[in-house]
Amino acid sequence: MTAQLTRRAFLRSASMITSAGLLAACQPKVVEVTREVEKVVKETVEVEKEVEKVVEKEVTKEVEKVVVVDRQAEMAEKLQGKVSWATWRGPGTGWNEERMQSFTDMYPGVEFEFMPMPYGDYAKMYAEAAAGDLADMISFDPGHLVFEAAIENGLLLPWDDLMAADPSLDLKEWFDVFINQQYYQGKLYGLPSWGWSGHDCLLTNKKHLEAAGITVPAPESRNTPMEEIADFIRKVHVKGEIPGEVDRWGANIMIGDVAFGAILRAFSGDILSEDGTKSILDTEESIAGLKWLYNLAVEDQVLGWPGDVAGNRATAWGEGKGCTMYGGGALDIVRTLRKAITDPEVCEPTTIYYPNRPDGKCSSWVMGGTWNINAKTEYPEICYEFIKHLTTKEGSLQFNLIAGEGALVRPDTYEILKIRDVAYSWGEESLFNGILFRVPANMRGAEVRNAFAQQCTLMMDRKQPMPFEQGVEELHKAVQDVLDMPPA
Amino acid sequence: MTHQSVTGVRPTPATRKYNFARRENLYGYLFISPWLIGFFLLTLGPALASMALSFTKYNILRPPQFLGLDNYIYALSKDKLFYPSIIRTFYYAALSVPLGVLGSMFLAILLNTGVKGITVFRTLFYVPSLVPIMAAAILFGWLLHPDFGPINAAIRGLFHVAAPGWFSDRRYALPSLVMMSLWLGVGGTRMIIFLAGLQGIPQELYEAASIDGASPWHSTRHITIPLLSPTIFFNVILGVIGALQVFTSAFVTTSGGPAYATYFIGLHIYYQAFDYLSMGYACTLAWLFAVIIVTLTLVQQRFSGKWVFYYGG
Repeated sequence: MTAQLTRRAFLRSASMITSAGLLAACQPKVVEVTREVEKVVKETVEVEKEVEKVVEKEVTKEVEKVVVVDRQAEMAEKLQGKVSWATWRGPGTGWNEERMQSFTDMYPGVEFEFMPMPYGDYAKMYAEAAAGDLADMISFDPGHLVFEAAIENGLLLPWDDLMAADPSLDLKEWFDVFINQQYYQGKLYGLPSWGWSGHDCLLTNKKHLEAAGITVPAPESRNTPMEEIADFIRKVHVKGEIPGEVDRWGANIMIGDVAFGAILRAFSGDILSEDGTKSILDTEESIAGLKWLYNLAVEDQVLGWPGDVAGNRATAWGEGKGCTMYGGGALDIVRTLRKAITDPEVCEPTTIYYPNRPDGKCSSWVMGGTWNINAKTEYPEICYEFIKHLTTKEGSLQFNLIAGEGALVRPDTYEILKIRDVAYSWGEESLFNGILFRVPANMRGAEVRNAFAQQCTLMMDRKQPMPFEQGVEELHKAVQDVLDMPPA
Repeated sequence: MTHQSVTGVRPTPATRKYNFARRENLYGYLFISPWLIGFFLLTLGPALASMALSFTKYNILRPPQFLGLDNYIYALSKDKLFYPSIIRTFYYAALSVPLGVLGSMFLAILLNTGVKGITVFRTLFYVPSLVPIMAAAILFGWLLHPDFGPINAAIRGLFHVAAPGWFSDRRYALPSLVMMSLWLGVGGTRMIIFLAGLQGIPQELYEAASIDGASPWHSTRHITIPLLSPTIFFNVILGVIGALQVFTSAFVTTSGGPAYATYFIGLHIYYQAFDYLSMGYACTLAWLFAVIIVTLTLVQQRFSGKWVFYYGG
């Protein structure tokens, strides 16, 4: 549709933009005026296409600058002090140092003590909390099932007061699904750090499927039935010359709640009930998912477990060895697998997603992390501003590209990442249509995870498997026993 | 009776002796006080604290909550991992200790010969015991890798059979850990202790036996082993105590898997304490296991008289 720009329309638009610009220069109504300007710009874009970019860029940039500078000027005098930051995300990449330096450039009165941590060392953080040594800024990731327990034990500061004093914070900068994970009993306790939806697909070497005569589904397709996927796995599995040996596994799916949970969800089942009090592994749907896995692992023996695949799993896959398909999320392709491909003739990555469920949802497991403030910090405002600084568009983009984390938590960052690598877009539907992970009501997440993983290994050991029905019963009981324990 | 002031009383020989003994005792305690302070503060104190905590629910973040005997009752009657992990730990000890002690003794006998370059051999055998367990675990993870490990490559190449999964196969995971412990421990301190024991056996006994026409095997069976029995006993006691405390190798290589195949009591205690933050319950498990180890040691002591022979005593 072409639209003619009349002089009247142009003058109307120009005067609105000018007025908006003038209003934007006035404080403290900056935030509200900004939103109105955005609307106008969009309308102008539809009418005046040739000046579209110039107009949008100018207005947006100008308004944004005013907001930041003012907040910065306001806070520069208040933010004085030394804060400690403990994290295992980013050390050695330079991302942490860049964020701290750029923050100090804005607020010279702030000093940092950076405390790199071993990955997942929540035990150390708990010990530090008990000793009174816990850093000012920490992370108790919801995706690792430790968030709620940390709040219940009084470790994390709620953000109500900080947010009330800051009109510039717009939670819409992040996807709802990740912001929602920062809430507990109605209060916000942080901002999203990493976040993805995953283990709802098989990262596949397309070359092997083509060699086996399989028509490879489009990477973002959600229409491939589970039985057809199972058939693919059987077809690409390559036995070794020596009986009992395997040259290349059909698939390698990590034993655990995340990967197996996504498969159960593809069958409309799950591990836990929504309220986290019951194991639903004994439902018809979950049993169908477990049977799918059991058949592949025990009957067909085409599923390799970790330890079965030669060398580093990603390296082997990139060399066309080890296995053809490997359970994960599209993010794995950009983070590790592309780098592992040594010969594009030997390995071409694609994704085969589990089909959407009858209720329309993806089977993906949406989970994410957080940046939190220690409840006992002396400098909550510094921590608050720094965490905002970590999670800006620039900070989040660098968190992905430099720190190597999977942080699909901001719409603006995600758009840029999709342009950089098409694989990011393959998992887009999972991100918006996935299912949040479920947390045990008694906050014994680690115990549920361990019990589930160990019992699944026992059940699906291809050399000494359990009869399926017995395996399901024992698996269900093992998980329910943990859920029946008193709260942690 | 006449009372005289102390300064006017001349100490009797008995009093002099008593004062001297007291002073000597005092100096003795003074000299061992650094160790004593360390013992009370860092060993006995925490041990008593853990005993107290074993009767509580304690997650280190909130004050302990007294539970009475609930933790002990749970461990002994409801914890599905407690008995299997104990049994598994004993199984590990039953494999690793005899093999380790025999291996060390055999090596020590070999190294007790006077062949040329024996000191080089002693060093070479001892070096593995200096390797940190973490490094050894990584090394064995590579050696025993199911696909590209050299052990399996040799098995496939030489015998054309499917090679085992080692750490990834629950039938072989525990024996793999035993192999690792033997590599680390056979040539280590135990061997040195055996060497010392061997060198304490009077040579005239061998000479006399030789004169009487005893073969090397007879000498070993009727002289070496009986006279080495106190050393064997000592190494068995320490070996059992050490084996029952197995943790690091399993934690690094298998994390207790696959399917609980290497889930020892040490790991159970660790996960309860540091993964699940059930410190009180972890203390309970630790004390129950300590009682088991002490009982076992006492039983071994009790029966040692039947097979341990002290020369000259």
